[in-house]
Amino acid sequence: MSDAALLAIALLLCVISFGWLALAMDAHWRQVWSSEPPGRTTARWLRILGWMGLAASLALCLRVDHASMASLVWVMNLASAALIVAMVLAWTPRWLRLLVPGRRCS
Amino acid sequence: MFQNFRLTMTWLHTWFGLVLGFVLMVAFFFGALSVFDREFDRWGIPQTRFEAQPLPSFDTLLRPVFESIEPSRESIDEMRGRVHGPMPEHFDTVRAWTLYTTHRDPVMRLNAIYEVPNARDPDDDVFGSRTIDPRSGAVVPDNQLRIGSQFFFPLHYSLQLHWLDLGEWLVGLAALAMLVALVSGVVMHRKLFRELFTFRPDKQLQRSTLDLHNLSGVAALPFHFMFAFTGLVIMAGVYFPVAHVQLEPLHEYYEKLEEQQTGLPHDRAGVAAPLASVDAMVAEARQRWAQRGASGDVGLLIVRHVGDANGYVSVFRAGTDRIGLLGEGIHFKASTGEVLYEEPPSSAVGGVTDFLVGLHLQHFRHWTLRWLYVFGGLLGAVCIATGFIFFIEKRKRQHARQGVSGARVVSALAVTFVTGMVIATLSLLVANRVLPESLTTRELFEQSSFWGAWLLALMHAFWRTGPVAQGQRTSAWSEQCWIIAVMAVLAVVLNWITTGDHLLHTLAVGYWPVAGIDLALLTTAAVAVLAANHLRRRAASPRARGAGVSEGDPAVGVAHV
Amino acid sequence: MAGSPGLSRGDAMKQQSAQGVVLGRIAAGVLGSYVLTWGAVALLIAALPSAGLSFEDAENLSGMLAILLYLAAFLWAFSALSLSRVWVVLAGGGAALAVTASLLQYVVLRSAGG
Repeated sequence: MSDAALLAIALLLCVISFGWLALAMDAHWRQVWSSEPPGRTTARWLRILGWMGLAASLALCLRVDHASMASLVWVMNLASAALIVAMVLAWTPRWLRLLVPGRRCS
Repeated sequence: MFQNFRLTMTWLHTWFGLVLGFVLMVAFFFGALSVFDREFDRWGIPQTRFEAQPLPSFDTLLRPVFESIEPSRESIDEMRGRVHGPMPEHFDTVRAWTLYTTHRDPVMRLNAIYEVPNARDPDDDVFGSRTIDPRSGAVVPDNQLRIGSQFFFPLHYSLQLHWLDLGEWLVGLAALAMLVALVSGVVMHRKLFRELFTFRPDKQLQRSTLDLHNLSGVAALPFHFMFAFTGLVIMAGVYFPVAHVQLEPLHEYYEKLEEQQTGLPHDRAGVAAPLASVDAMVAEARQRWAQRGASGDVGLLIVRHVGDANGYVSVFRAGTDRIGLLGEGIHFKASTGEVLYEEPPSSAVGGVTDFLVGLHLQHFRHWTLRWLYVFGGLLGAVCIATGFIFFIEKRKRQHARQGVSGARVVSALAVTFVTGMVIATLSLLVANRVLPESLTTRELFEQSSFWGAWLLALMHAFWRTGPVAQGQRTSAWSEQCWIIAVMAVLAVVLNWITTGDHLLHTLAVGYWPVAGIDLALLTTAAVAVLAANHLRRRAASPRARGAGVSEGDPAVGVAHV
Repeated sequence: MAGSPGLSRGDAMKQQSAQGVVLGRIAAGVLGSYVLTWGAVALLIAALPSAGLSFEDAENLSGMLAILLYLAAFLWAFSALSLSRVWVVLAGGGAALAVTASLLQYVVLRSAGG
């Protein structure tokens, strides 16, 4: 796969992971589902998935570039992804429902 | 000073952030533009719009140019008063020739540094330079302002305020204030992580501005910290010149010691000697780099003690594929071409330093990361601008009641340093395309158009912020947004008319330095129109009455410049 | 501000002294921290090469640490209880470090026979 595609996937992974981490927070879960916050187990799984996704994104960055450069790309990806997730939560929070497929909305 | 640590931090954040925030706006905004400094140079000097070039032959092409350089009149003028007796008629002893180039430079700038025999300080020198087209060796006239690398970039760290280096010290203090603001902001903002993704645009302006301030600050916290920190690290020698003041003797002692270890002569021998083929030395350096698994181009070439038996040539690899600017220096004896010293892999401290300096000055080839840097810099500008607006929103009604002009003054300055700064930038670009190339004082006019437009924006902002004194909103934001939109489009059109390089053409041939800037200008115009429209709608809605709802948005708009 | 109506003389004096306190803290934070940092940089540059670092590395490392030290000293200057103690530590400490650095320089140059 081309470097550009790998980097795009790395950014996408960051966005998805931050989405999971946001859903693990009560306030944002309510924004997305307009229902009671997730159970403790669900929240924990969301957090685990989120952190794993961020790690996978770093691994992708490291595959493309020299480690020194990859670390910078990853950190900047984190900033962009956090902002994207915040904007999605502000304007179209329902989009984040895609991140927990199979869950029916109440 | 206060009852507790948090209150102290709040006070520091508010007041240092406010006072030095204006300097920080300049540093962040023009820092973001400087990521593409060379591309701005191409946009502003159409003769140099061609692909970046590899290092041409030194022996046949560069050497005659180096030999033809003469000290510039400005550098000789600067030496006046620093010599014993009269100024020499000519300068025959060349201390060094230098050439620095990157993968984004189509033209190359050759520098020569000359000894001044009767200088009071023997380390003083005069210097000259010449810019060439490396394809032919033809000299490119040097009288045009390099908008990016000569104006925006120095503006970003010196405010172009050179008297007593005041600008550099002010920016340094502002960078410290940035670090202080980040630490104190984290202390103040207790729900840092619980509210990481929170932005509520539909809430009251004061609340949603604070959301955006926190979000832009926290999301890019590593970026903000690293750039303020590395900026200070790069300038540490300027702010703490300990090794050149208090410890100068020790410095000299270690320099001599190092000379013995590396075999690179510190002084001239006083015996004339010829210069062997530098092309052969460059070829040898390339071969040695390849053996170390780091093939690449020359980034920096230095010939020291030119024409002397102690002369030596240093060849450094360009850090195109790394964060560090340069590396793997190899030094050759100038008269014979034999290798004097090959630099060992850098030490731990050296490696960290190269990384920190390189990540800030970014001469690497990574377009994604470059754009992410622009985004980070603009996010910093959003963070500071929303800080101003929060300050105003929090106080303007109280100030209106008390008849204090604080909120009004800050509001006018905020307009000046957000939209006004963009107008000044666009004014420089427009002036660059309108002024005739034959004009000898062209550079001066371009810079004047920048400062003049900024001054006008300041006057307009103060004129229009009357309503803030009554706790109302100002119309300066939306009016300046319209000016931005018109001027940005004008700059693109003028570029088309004066050079023929319209977007369809530059995109078709893939000439990104100019296409990228034109596209960014059009995006700026679009965002400015959106922001102005948004402001008008908010002003018209009944909710806005007396609430000054609209002030938050231009800051967001500018983020997309 | 001091002339606002409704302020008694006592209030005005209090406000004036409050301004003095703030200015004193700012001076300590900006200038005092500078003195301390200068001293620390000097001592590091003087001492580290004897500990095996190259002079350039010593300069670079001390430059990095200088920024962090200045930041810490600056924050402390505003949050410490006693302003006089802040001045003693920052200016006194800085001077002591700088003097030590100069002594060390003297020793190094002397033992090198310079």
